[in-house]
Amino acid sequence: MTALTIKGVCKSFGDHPVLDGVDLTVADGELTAVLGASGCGKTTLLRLIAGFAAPDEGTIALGDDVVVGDGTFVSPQRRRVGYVPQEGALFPHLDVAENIVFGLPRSERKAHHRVDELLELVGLDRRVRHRAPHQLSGGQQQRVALARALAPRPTLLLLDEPFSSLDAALRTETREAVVSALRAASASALLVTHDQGEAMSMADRIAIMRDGRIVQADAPAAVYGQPADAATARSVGHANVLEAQVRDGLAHTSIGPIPLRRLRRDGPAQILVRPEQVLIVPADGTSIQTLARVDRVHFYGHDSVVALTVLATDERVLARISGGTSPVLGATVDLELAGEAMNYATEP
Amino acid sequence: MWLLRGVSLLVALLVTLPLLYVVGYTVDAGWAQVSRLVFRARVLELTWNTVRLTLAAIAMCALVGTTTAWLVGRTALRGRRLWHVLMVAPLAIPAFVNSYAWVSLVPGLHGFGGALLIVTLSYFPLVYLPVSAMLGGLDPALEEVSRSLGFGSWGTFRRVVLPQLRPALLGGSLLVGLHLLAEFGALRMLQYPTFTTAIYDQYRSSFAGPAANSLATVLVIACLFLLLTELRLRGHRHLARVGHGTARATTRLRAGRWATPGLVLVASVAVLAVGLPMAMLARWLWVGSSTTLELGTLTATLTQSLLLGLVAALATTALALPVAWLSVRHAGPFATLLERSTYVSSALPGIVVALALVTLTISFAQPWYQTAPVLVIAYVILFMPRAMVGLQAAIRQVPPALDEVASSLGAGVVARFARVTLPLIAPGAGAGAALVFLAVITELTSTLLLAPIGTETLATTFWGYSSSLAYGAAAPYAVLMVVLSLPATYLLTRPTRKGHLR
Ligand SMILES: Nc1ncnc2c1ncn2[C@@H]1O[C@H](COP(=O)(O)OP(=O)(O)O)[C@@H](O)[C@H]1O
Ligand SMILES: [Mg+2]
Repeated sequence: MTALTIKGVCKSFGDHPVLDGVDLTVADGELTAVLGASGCGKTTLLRLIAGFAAPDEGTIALGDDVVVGDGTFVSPQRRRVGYVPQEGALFPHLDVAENIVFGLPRSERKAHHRVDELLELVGLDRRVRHRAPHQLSGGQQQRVALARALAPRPTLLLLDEPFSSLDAALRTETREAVVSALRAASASALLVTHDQGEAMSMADRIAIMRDGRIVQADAPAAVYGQPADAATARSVGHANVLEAQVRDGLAHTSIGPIPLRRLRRDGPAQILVRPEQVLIVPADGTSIQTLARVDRVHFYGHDSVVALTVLATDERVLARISGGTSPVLGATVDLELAGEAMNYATEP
Repeated sequence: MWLLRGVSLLVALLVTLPLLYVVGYTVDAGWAQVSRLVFRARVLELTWNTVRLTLAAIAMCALVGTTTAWLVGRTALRGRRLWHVLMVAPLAIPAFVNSYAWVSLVPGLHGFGGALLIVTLSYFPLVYLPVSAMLGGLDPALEEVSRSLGFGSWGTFRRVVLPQLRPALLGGSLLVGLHLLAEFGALRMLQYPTFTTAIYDQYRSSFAGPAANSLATVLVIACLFLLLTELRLRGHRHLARVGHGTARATTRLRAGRWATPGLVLVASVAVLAVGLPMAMLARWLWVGSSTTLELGTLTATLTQSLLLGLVAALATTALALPVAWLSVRHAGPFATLLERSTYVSSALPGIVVALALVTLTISFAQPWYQTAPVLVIAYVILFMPRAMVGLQAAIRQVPPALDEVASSLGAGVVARFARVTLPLIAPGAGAGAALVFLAVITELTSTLLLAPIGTETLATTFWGYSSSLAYGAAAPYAVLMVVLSLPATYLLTRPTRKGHLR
C-alpha cells in the first residue's frame, strides 16, 4: 500500500514554472524526505498535497483515493492530511491543549481527549497543557504543532522544514522526538527540507528535488552511495568528481586506479568518489606516489575535510580524516583511493 | 472567492451611492443649469467663506497641533501624560457642543473670527494625534546624526524632523479640511454661512431641489480636490526606517528657558479647548437641573441614540469585513479600488450623503423614506473607514497559515471563521465598532435630515434646545454625548504601533 502517490504534477506561478512533472510515492508507515535547495518548490509541493492550492497538471492520490486530478478536487478539510507548517503556526488565541484538540469532533474537544497521550508522544511535559503558544520555546511549539496534526489520526503527515528555525542542539533533540512520535503513531509522513543531514538522519527514503522534478528517490545509503548524477551526489554530501580513463573495469585517475561499481565501456569518463574514499598517507617514497598539497582544513570536530591539490594535474580533491590528526597546511602528502567509484552514463 | 468579491462589490456600490448620485445628478441636470445655480453672488460669497475658513483652520490646526505635539512629546514638560490626554480630549466634545459653550458665554462670538477660534479648538487634535505618534516613532539616531553634522536644534527640527512629519501633517490637515467642509452645527450656531449650512437652509426651504443639489455638487468637488491634493503632496517618498534592530526610545530636550512659556502655551490650549466648554456645560447643567430636566425624555432619547449607535456599529463592521478581508488577503487592483471607494464616500459631508439618500428613497423606495434602515445606511456610508482600519490591521495580524492549518484539521469555511478568524480579529473589529458607535452618537446633520418622525437622538434633541436658546435644557444631552465619547477618546491617547492613527 502507498499512502501517497503523486504523478506528473506541474505548477507555475505566472510564467515561472516551479514544479515540472513531479512523480513521488510514499509507502505506508514510511517517512520520506524531499531534499532540495531553498526556493526549489518544496513548500509548493506540500501545499498541493494538502489542498491549499491546485496543480496545473497531474494527479495526487491519498491511499486509493484521487484527491486532485482527473477532474476532481477534494477540499483540504476533507483530505485529512496532517500539516505542520514551517513556523508551527499555533493558534495564538488557544492554549496548548485547545490547540491539540482543534481537529477533533466537538465532544472529544470538550473532554480534552488524547491530550496527555499526545503530549507524551511528542515528548512534552503535561504541565504545558495550559500554556499559551507564546509561552513556549521554539522546539516546544513545533512539538505541539506536531501533536495537533497527529491528533485526528491523519493518513499522511506533511512537515515543512519543521526544524529550520531551531538552534542546533534543540534541532537534534526535536528531530528525535518527532521521529519517535511518528513511529509510535505509525504515521506515514512526507518531510521537506534543504538540510541534507536532517534528511539523511531521519528519513526512510530520500527524494532529491531539482529543477521542479524528483531526480532520485531511494534509501539514504543508496542516494549517498549511488547518486543519479554529480549534482545529486553533491546535494547529499561532499563529493569529488574526477576525470578518468576506463580500462578493464578500472577507472584510472590522477590519484590512481579504482574499481567501478557499475561497469562501463572503455574510454574517458567522469567518476565520483566520496572524501572518505580518499586516503592521506605519509609520503614515504615506497609505493607509487600521488603527491598533493594541503590547501585548507575544514574542521568539523568529529572529523575534518581536507582540501588538496594534486601536484601533477592541478586537480582539486577533498579527503575526510577522522578527528584528532590534522595535516599541516602547505605540506605535501601522498593520496590513495579506496572502495568503489560511481560513474555516470550521461554526464557532460 | 467569487462570493467574497461579489459581496465586497455590493458593499462598495452601496457606500458610493451618494457620490454616484451627485455625479448622476450633475450630468443629468446639465452643466448649464448647475452653473446657473452655482455662479451667483450668494454662492460666490459662500465659496469665499468656505475656502478661507478651511484654509485658515488647516493652517491654525497644523500650527497648534504640531507645536503642542512637539512640546508634549519632545520637551521635559511636567505631567506629560496628563497634557497628552488633555490635547486629545477635545475630540470628545463635538464641535457644535463646543460652540454652544462659547456662544452661551460670549453671545457676540460670530463670523469668521469666532468660527476660526471654535473649529481650531475642536479640530487641532486631528493634527496633534498623528504628529505626536510620528514624533514618538522617529528614530533618534537620525537627529543625532544631524547634530553631529553640525545642525542646531532648530536646524535639526527643520531639516530632519519636519520632513519626516510630512505624512502625518498632511493626513491630519486633510482630516481637518474634510471635517470643516462637512461642519454644520458649530458654524450654524456661530452664524457663519458655508456650503454645508446653505445646503441645509435650501433643503429646509425648497426640499431636495436643484439649488440644494447644485451646491452639493460644488461641495463634493471641493472634497475630492482635497483628497487628490493630499495624495499628490504625499507622493511616494519612502519614510520607513532603514536598517535593522529596533529604534531606541526618543530622548527629550531639557526645555531650559522655554520650559515656562511651553507650559503656559499647552495649558492655555487645554483651558480654552477643554476647560471652558466643560465649565460652561457644568454651569448650564446646574441651571437646567433646577428648572427643566425631564428624565423621561432624556432616558428615551438616550435609548434611541444607543440603539442606533449599536445597530450602526454592527452593520458597519459586518459590511466592512468582506472588503477588509479582500484588501488584505487578496490584494490587487480590484480590491484596492473597492477599499478606496469606501474612503472616498465617507469623505463626503453628512449633508451630501443625507441629501442623496433622501432623493434616492423618495424616487425609488418611497416607503423607506425617513426610516431607521436608511438612517443606518447613512451612518454606514459615513463611518465605514473607522471600522475598516481596525479590521484591516487585525486581519493583517492573522497569518494565512492558521487558516490553512485549520482546514487541514477538518474545519470548513464557517468553522474556520468562527473558531480561528473571529476570535483573532475580535479586538480590532471591536475597537473599530466602538469608533463607529461614538461617531453615530454625536452625528447631527444627516440625522436631522433622515431620522424617522418622532425619533430623537441626543444630538438632535440638543440641537433643538440650543437652537431655541434653551441652554439649560440642552446641557444634559451635551453632557451625555461627551461622557459617551470619553472611552473612545481615551483609547486614542494610548500609543499605537507604527504611528498609524487614521
Ligand atoms: N503564491 C506564490 N506566488 C508566486 N510565486 C510563488 C508563490 N509561492 C511560491 N512561489 C515561488 O515558487 C518558488 C518555490 O517556492 P517554495 O515552494 O516556497 O520553495 P521552497 O519551499 O522550496 O523554498 C519560489 O521561487 C517562489 O518565489
Ligand atoms: Mg519552503
